[in-house]
Amino acid sequence: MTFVPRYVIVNQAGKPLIVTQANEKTTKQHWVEYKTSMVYYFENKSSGSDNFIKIRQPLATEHSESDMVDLSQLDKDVWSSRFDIENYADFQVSIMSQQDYPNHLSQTIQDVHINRSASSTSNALIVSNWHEPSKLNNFRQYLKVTVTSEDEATIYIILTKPTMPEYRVNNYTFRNIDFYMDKIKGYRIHRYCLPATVVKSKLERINYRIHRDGRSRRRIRRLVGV
Amino acid sequence: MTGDQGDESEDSLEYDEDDYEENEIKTTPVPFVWDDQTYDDKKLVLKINGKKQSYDISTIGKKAPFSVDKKQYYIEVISTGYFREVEIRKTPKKDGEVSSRDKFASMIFASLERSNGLDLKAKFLGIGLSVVDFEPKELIYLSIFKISFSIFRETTLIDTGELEDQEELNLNIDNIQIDNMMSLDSPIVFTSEEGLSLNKETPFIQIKVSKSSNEQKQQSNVKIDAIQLKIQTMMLEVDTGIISAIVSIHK
Repeated sequence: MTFVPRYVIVNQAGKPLIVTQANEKTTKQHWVEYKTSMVYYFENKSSGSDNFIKIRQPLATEHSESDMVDLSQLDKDVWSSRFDIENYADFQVSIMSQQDYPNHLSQTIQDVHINRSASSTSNALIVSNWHEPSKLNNFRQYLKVTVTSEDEATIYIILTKPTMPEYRVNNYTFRNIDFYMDKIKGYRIHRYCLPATVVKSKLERINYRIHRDGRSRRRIRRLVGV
Repeated sequence: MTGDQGDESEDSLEYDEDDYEENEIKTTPVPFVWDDQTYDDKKLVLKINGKKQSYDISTIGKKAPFSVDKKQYYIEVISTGYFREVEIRKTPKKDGEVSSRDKFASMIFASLERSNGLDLKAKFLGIGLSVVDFEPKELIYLSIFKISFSIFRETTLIDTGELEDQEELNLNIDNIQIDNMMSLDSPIVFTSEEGLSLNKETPFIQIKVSKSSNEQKQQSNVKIDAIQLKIQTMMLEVDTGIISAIVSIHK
């Protein structure tokens, strides 16, 4: 007889979600309606530490638990990366979004940046929220996963919309920078950071340069003691 | 460096990196989340002009510089309190050079809220201060009535991922009065005119400063929205006795 904790998956993510164990032998999928919770048990629990689950959003054809597409027929990309629910943690995963996918995928990530930088004058802001599907994140939807417990007997896996990203990459150079996660087998998102742009007008720039040169001359004078 | 005249001709598209300082440029930060959380050794790959370099960004601090095309770029992971930021710069950030926003944000730690801040209100009924000579005899008595002080700071993460700071400072002093304790003829040296009446409404001094800053508008990093100073009419009555008494303390 083994004692296992009771896992409760709480869906506060704003849409129904489907959960399964990230294991080759697994055949079951579990539907978790929005604003409900579900008691979850591993289908093939191993004694090792790699008992992971993964989640996805229902496809357009799936409306309830009864009409779910069979696990074997699903594309790998629809799933989130696998994640650990045995240790208390707070992290984010991405799932494939059913909306706007893949119709807009032909547009490049660069378009988003251009629209973003133009947004200070026009309000045509494409990226309303960084965690929503957009060109910036290859139309993946981000979800926040919080693994926690109140009494050590029940482990809650709470799925919500995140407010902050884990990281942000800020490029102060005039170079194009690509970045992505290293050495990963599953789905990898390539992101793209546009070069920094100069904000000042040419006239302001010249004034600035005169000011800056004046400052450096003063600094030199101070150094040589004149 | 070659002459300055030459590089004035270069325009908008190709910038010389050495010609601009950080307050002259605008950046577009991009959010990043690990694609797979289960890896023990999570690394971020940066790629500039075909060259790749892998970075451990789980710890904050300066990382190995990125060398490409005979140029070196400096990589640093900082904590804003909201998330970690990977910064790529052409010159290293000086030690101790932390913006007030970063300092403030790191005080809050990671929070679930979209905005964080401080709202502090303090009220004093009054403060009294006596100036006493060597005798000791009380010369003047300074009293400040009803001081209220409030400070409000808020940092908000707006939808585009930029941080917006708002700060407001208020100081109200109902009345300041200086009493001449030496003579009974003119007992009040200084007061606000309204201070003498019992049912006064407006405070004697009102100071209000509000300012806001937005990351995106880096060219005007801090904008002071309003500074307001209101002083009501006052009354000053000094007799020579009190002046000579105060002067004698200094001798």
